[in-house]
Amino acid sequence: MDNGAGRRSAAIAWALLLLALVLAVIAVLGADGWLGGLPTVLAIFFGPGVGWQNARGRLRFNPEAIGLAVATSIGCVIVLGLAMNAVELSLTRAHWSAVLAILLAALGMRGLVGRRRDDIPHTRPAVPARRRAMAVALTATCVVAVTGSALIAWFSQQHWLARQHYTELYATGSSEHQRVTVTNHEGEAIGYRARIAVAGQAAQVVSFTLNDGSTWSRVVAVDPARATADVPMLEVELVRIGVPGVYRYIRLVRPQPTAQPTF
Amino acid sequence: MAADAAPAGEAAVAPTRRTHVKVRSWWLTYPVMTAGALAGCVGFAMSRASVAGAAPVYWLGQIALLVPCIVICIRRTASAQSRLLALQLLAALQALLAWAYSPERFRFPDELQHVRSAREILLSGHLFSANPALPVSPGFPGLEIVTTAVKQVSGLSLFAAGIITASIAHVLLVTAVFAWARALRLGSRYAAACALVYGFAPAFPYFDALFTYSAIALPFFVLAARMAVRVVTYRESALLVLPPLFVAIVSHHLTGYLTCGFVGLVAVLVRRSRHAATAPQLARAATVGLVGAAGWTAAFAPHAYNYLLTPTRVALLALVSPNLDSAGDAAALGLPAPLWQRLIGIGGSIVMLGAAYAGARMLWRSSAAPWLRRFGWAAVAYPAVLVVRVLAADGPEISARLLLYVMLLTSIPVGYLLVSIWATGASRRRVAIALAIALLAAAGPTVSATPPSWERLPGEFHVAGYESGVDAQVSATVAYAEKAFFPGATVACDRMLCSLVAGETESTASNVATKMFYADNIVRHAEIGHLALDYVLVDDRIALQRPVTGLYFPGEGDTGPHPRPFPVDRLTAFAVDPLYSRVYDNGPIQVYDVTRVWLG
Repeated sequence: MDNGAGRRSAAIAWALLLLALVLAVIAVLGADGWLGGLPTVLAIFFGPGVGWQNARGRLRFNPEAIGLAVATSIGCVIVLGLAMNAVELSLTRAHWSAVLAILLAALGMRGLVGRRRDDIPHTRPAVPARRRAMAVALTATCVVAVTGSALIAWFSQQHWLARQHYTELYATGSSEHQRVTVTNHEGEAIGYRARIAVAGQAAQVVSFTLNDGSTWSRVVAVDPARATADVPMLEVELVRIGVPGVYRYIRLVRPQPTAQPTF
Repeated sequence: MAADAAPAGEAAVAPTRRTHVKVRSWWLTYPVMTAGALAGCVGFAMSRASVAGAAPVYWLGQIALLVPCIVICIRRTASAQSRLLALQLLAALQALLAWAYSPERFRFPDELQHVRSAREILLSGHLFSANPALPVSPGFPGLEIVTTAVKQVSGLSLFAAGIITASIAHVLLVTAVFAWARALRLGSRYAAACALVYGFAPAFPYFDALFTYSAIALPFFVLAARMAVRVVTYRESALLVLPPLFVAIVSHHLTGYLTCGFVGLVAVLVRRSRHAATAPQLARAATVGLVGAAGWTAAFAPHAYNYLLTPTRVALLALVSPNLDSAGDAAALGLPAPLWQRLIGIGGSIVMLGAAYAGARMLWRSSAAPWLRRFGWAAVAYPAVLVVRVLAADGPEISARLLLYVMLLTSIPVGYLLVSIWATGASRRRVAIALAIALLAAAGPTVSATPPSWERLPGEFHVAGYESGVDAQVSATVAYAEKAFFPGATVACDRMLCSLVAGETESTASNVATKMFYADNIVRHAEIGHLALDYVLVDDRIALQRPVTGLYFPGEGDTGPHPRPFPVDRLTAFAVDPLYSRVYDNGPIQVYDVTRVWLG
């Protein structure tokens, strides 16, 4: 399977140059979305290896050669990452895109410039129409099965997560203000009643209804100096309408730490 | 050498009309395999929905996934490309199933440790930042370099970039094994059989497809081994061993050293053969690699020596004082693997052992080159790993990981045996024997591989489980921690919460806080102060279930077995202590800010 000497392809060289251009655009514009994804995955996992094989005139299209090209690509990316780090070039999107673009452009140019007259032109062996149709049908079947597998896995997981019903109650903030947040993951609209008690102030009672996935929050002013051993700085009791007792409860005796103190 | 050393039947596949017809007869292989993956995903979905019959559907899928691949790899009439394509498809579908098991986030503890390393690289833009979740990980950044490059350039999430990287590495591994076996010049059928047998390593189908640093290093271990063999068989320069060796060294500590060992082993085997001239070159390559590995470890990952010492000591101690009572905590909790799975697991190991012995003998008596015949006996490493599995306390885990390396040696005689039995003109009985050996050897590791039987199908929550210990509430708590905890906060929690907090936030999960959880108020306060804890995460469900993996907390080592669930009064103490701020509550899980205890 890997006994052939391989060849050098102008089409591959142009494809590498195109990928280099895409990466250059990403480096300059930092574009997300459609520009990312598949082209960049191709550029990282196949570009350097296929480019290397093409530049050496050893391009082959069989599963083993492609696998070795992927290995070469991964090895290249690891070495590039180490080299970038060694020269204090941070591993950011712009730097990665630029470095990979230069590499692919160099390999693409070498593939074009290095072509010799005796490079064997790529000729596809004639495949009978029936076998070709069968191959297409088989590939389509496999793609449908894999896509179906992925969709089933994704949606069953989302359904499994959605079936886990709970309500979150938490507080975040500083020594002056705290944001009290309630998020409903109960799978249905729920009525809540929150009793918010701040040290040194009269307790407030707030009633509200939240749809599944919705969040309610309120910012309250707090004063840590007024908190005592028996009276916390902030106390929130959340009652779920229709469920006896306190459903969720938080209590802050001091503002949350913002950084580890140093002594 | 190639022709006469090839197992019978390998060289004689002529492109006759009959062969052509037969070639078309295996066209169903690939659709059946993908249907197997589909059935596996349906099994997962049924299990998540608590529908009866999930397990049979899942196992049916595994059979559909494996059997066609086994047949196409060892039958006589198939092209090299179709065999390798089947192996690659098998690996790709295994990666698909590994993703399908947890399709929206990383859950396995080892993966989460590497998530932290990758996050540190993304945050700092540089390698080698400290990772409290796994201190050795930043010193071997191969996986994280590739993943962060994909994430940065493509704009995908870290999870998607990690899944793509790990999946491609998984497919690459089986391709590398095929290429390695082809370098032995025993034919593509033999190479396919070797790659197939290598895939019977228990950690291969699932663990190797996870986001772990060994996953990206292993293909380069095999590629370095391939180059070492090609130095012998194709007279190539030994310098070509060094690039894959270097990538293995910078990607995973153990893999780097074992790669050097493998190259050294080839050098030893080719001595006193007509290829003896290559032995010094290979020995030099192995020495250079060893020096490089030692230098790399000393410079970038000095923790690695201690890290490697622990499992090595466990494995060696097992030989001196065997721990025969290591049936596992899951078994003690009434969650043992079903009897049929245990029997098939044992049977598979015995079959593999027998096949390795028979294959080594067969290879020894063949006309293959002397160094290659000696290579067959290197499979003796397989029973050594089985001894560790039976005798060591963490035997199943250590042996499963070791087999990812040792199976490369074991595949030489077992692949030879399979190909030789199903030789040209073999009777139906011989064909049946070859298939039976392959199926049993595959079935053993398949049923005893990770994930363990109690969480093989997703959906049920287990306290201290691996993936099954992460449900929506745990995820929500960690999402809160990521928003609210300051960088460097020290956190105490149970094992799964700590895995996630350490991996996905900038906090440090304490692995010495077990005593704090078990203590009374006075000692607890002292421990909180002593450890300078900022937050304690409490999951009430630890008072309802015993830990399925034996330990509630990270670093818990001296509390002994847990005959009962965690004492509930130790958990309620957090709720009533006036010194603790309860800052988060989602029902089963609460987060306490405990800094008041030691900051006043």
